[in-house]
Amino acid sequence: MKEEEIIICRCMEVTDKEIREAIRLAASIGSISIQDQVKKLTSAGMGLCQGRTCQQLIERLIFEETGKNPNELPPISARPPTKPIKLETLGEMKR
Amino acid sequence: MIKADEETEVTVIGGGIFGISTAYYLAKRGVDVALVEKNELASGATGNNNGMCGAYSSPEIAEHWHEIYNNLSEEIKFNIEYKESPDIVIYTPENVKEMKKLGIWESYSSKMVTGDELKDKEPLLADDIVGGIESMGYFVNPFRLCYGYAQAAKGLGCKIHLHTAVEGIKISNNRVKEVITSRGSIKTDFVVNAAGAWSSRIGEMAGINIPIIPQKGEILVTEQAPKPHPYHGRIANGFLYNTYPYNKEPEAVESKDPRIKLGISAYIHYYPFTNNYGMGGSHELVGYDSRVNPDTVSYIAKQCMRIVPSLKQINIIRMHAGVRPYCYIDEKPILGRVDSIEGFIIATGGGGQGLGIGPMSGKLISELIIENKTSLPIDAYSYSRFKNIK
Repeated sequence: MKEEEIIICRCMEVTDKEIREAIRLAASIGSISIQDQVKKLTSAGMGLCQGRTCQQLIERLIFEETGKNPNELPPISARPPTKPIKLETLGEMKR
Repeated sequence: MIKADEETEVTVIGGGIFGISTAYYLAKRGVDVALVEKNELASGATGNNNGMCGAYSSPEIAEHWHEIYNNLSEEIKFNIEYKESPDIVIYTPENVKEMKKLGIWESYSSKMVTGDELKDKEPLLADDIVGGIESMGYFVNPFRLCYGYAQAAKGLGCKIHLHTAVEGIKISNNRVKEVITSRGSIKTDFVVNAAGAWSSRIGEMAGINIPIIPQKGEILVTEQAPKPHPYHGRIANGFLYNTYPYNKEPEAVESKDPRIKLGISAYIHYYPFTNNYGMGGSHELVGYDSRVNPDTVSYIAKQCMRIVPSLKQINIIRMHAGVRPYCYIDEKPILGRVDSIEGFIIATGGGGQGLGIGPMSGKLISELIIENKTSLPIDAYSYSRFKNIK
């Protein structure tokens, strides 16, 4: 299969090719938190599963493109909520 | 590291939209320029918004921003995902009651599409909507915008130093000489302070008081959903959105009403390229705290459900917050020279409209540096308008 046909992030339908391009672009500008930049540039890992499926695949592509191991990269930025929450539940939250 | 004898004509501080666009337009015209950013590109207000472009605080610029945006993807050979997205501000019976009390109902109602017409056009809306005001909105992907500008600027010779914090500005004989950073110093003729919510700190290093404070905004993002029609830009809850003068200290900070205290402007908008909804927003004066506040997001959720009840069961998958550079004196941007320091230029204060006016502001600042004049008037945004500031 070609890079443009392989889907890495299923939720947001982002391909291997798009992710590699984002990695190269972020690295060329001097970015350090490359995983975050891939998310921002392509939306990979920002769908309903929140990167649970594609995170490790993206880290592997970062290694292939830049030679950086996942443990050399800064931790990925995590946003609340941990699990999806219904709008109604949030709107009726009592504190 | 920055090399020991680094020298450049212009040093731009800040990798948000004001900074990166300034760097690009300077590099495009052959100016030797370096950009320093303490974090990553678009890591402040530019990267923590909903992609909606607005510009009501600076009409002179608003009229012309499209001249840049319409052709930018082609010019920099990078798709910035810019798109027209029609907006509607809708009014509920409780909005109307409060607006009548304030005596502002008449001026709004004359411009309104009726509730019945709106329900025909957009069945997602609540049944009791009184009316709404339509306008055209614009979406851009702020990350692609900044990376597109950065890639193009770099190709034109601009040096970009990320993870490089400015620690001092050397000035002698009232002239900018050098920018001192965490990774070395740069000798420079001009400094462009485009540090956004942090621009007052850069001001302090140069011995001036820039009236910018951080103003926090919070956004919720939903799972993917079908595109609403026809208002796939923004559907805003009218009263909250239009009529509260939020951020008037100390009233705002001390208020018991969450609309005022948190500066809520409840709206739902659609991300046209990722096909999900966003909901916002807030205008909180709580310093540099950019954590999500449960009270704020809960109030936003409640007010959004009020206008589009059919979204009650949608999943929220993400919430995020950031700080805008907010001019607490008159809510307008600050663009141009500082008379007391030759070579020191300010480009900040976009507040909630920085994404709309950022690219044009960068272009105008590049003209100011190169030609000593600008193609659009920016006097109304000059630093010298703050007469009594020490």
